[in-house]
Amino acid sequence: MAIVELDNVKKVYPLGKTEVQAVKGVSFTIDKGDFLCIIGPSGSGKSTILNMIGCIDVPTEGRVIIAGKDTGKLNDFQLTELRHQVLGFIFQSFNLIPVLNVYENVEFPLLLGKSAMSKAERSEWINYLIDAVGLADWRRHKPNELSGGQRQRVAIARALATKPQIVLADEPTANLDSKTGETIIELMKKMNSELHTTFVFSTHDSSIMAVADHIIRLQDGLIVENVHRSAGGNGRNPSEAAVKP
Amino acid sequence: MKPIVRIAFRNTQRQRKRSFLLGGAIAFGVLVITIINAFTAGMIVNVKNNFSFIAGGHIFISGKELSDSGRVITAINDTAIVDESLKLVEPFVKKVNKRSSSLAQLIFGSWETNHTIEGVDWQKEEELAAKLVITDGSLEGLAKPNAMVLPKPIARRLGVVAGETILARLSTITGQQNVGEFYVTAIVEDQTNFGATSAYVHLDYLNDLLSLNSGSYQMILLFLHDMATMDQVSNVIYGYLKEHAEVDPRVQLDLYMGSNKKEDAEKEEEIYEAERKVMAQIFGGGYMNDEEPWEGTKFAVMTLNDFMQPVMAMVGILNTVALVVFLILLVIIMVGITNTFRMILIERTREIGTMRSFGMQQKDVRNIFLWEAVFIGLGGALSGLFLAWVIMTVVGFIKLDGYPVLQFFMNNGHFTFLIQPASVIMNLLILLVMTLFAAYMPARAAARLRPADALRAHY
Ligand SMILES: Nc1ncnc2c1ncn2[C@@H]1O[C@H](COP(=O)(O)OP(=O)(O)OP(=O)(O)O)[C@@H](O)[C@H]1O
Ligand SMILES: [Mg+2]
Repeated sequence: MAIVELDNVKKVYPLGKTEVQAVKGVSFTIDKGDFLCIIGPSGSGKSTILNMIGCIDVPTEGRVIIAGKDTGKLNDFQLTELRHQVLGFIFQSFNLIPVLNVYENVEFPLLLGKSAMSKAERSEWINYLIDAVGLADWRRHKPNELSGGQRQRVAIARALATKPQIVLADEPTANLDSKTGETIIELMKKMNSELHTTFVFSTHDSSIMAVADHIIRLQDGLIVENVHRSAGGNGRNPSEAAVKP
Repeated sequence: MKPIVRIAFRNTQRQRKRSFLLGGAIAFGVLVITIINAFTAGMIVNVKNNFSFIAGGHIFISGKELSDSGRVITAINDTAIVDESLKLVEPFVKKVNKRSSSLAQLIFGSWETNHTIEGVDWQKEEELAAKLVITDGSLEGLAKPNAMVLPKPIARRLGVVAGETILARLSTITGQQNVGEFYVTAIVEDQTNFGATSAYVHLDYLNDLLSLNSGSYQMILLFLHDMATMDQVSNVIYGYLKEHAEVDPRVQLDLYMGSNKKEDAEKEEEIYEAERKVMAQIFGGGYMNDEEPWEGTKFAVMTLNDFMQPVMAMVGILNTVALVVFLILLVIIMVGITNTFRMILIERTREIGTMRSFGMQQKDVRNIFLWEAVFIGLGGALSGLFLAWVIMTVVGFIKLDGYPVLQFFMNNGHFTFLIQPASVIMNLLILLVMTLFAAYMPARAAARLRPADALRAHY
């Protein structure tokens, strides 16, 4: 079942007197529980697409449907609400809130809206996440006391705090050395299989896309490859043909 | 604490130096205005107190009568009406004093001068004795029935020193000339500083010289438990007297706050006249006016507030200057706050994008900024108040002697500070509103950042 649906999406940025066509018409779907990697060279439109899936930007043309909602028809307030309810984010440069400690950073998204969880349930859940990302001993530390890898782990826990259906990670490993980057992707994969959360991450490094079970390759704002792989396998999923322009 | 409030509070501590400078500037503004307001409020009370001891009370009721020959006699013979009116306000009145006064010609050797002599019941008015600043002699001589306390300027004019005897020529209430001999027991500072301090003598001795009927008096002076009730109490007395006898119009009510607005020059003239009249009635001095003839005793009711006008005007100016300084400081601080928050906006752009992407609404982003401004403003204001309190306490301990003019504004040589909660709250409100106003534009700009753009920012 598709949780994300892009239908002939175009994005044009004004740039001085001209415009930049960042995305030139892409269509694809993401299924619930997917571990999707968007790969492509710099400037190919990865961030632009992730931003549109993340409801922090809307398409110039075409439709982006997230959890059944057409984002082009929502105002800022509704988009914000949708982000809070359905989405979680992991950023290239971690973007933790410097004045909050690890626990508070993870807790932060939960405090932004009405929560169905009781206080006790909430702290149990946050502690579970912190344990799951391996930072049990760092709960009271501020972000500037952590290494890059640790910060990104906090960011993963934070992205999962509201139990979102989709977590978006725009180049989550770009600021990390390759070994740490791998462990981060592995951690994301672990959370993906444990919590059945849909993960979408982007990279321009083909070495870390191995774990993905759905790969979309971009070039100049267009999809050049869209493949599914069976979980655990490493061959292409025969049920879905690669899309070649 | 709500998360945005917590974040705002912690944000104040990110750039401690910057918050400290802003808070410090706010503290300074609050300090200045608080001290000046408290100082002037304390000064008013001190001046009123000091004045009340010299004048003999808070509320003054005097009476004048027309003799058969058409002379105006200062005396209250119709004491029953006064007694009745006083019954109405009994619970408010602490003490009732009686005084007489007369403009006399004081003679010493070949020197002479005109000045007001006031008859005082020294037994009852021990506060007056306590307030006098003696420069020569002592009050021990008050044991003599004809003792006199002379203000310094008069003593100098006559060339008299304590222990000598002078003559006073005055006219009795019926118009006869009379001469009395007075023993100068002490010479005192003229604390009113405008020659209004009378020469004080024993009430009985002066009444004899004036040939006042026994039982009648010239003026009755009331000390109240609470000075704040001065206007109400005097209104009740005045209302009663007006119903039952002739009265003079009241200075304060009819002129200063009069509903019939006269042309400025005319009004000023009238106020000046009225002031002279009040002074004349309190301190004697033979003020003659051209009024219609009347029957019986014509009463005049005055309060300390009636001649506080010059002091109030001065205090008003001081407070206005303080407010202007405060506002100018605030404007400078506001510019500082606006600039600081613009800087903060740039510094935290990506952080704002992050918070927005996790579902923080625009108004919460704005509120984080506003709360941060509130915390800085409040922190500054509270430290300013605390510092003001410390300074006022320390200054309050200092005792200044030997400045007779200053003494009039002080309480036994101490400056008094009276913190007025209403004006403190008012100033804090002004401060808060202006702080929020200054932070509002950057806060709104922060709220309106598009999340995608904010996340792309380099900070
Ligand atoms: N806000 C914007 N204004 C103008 N042009 C933009 C904007 N955002 C992206 N672009 C342009 O759109 C194109 C696609 O950008 P995008 O950031 O999506 O690429 P990317 O694949 O994420 O690249 P990278 O790997 O460098 O992050 C680029 O040419 C970029 O310059
Ligand atoms: Mg990018």
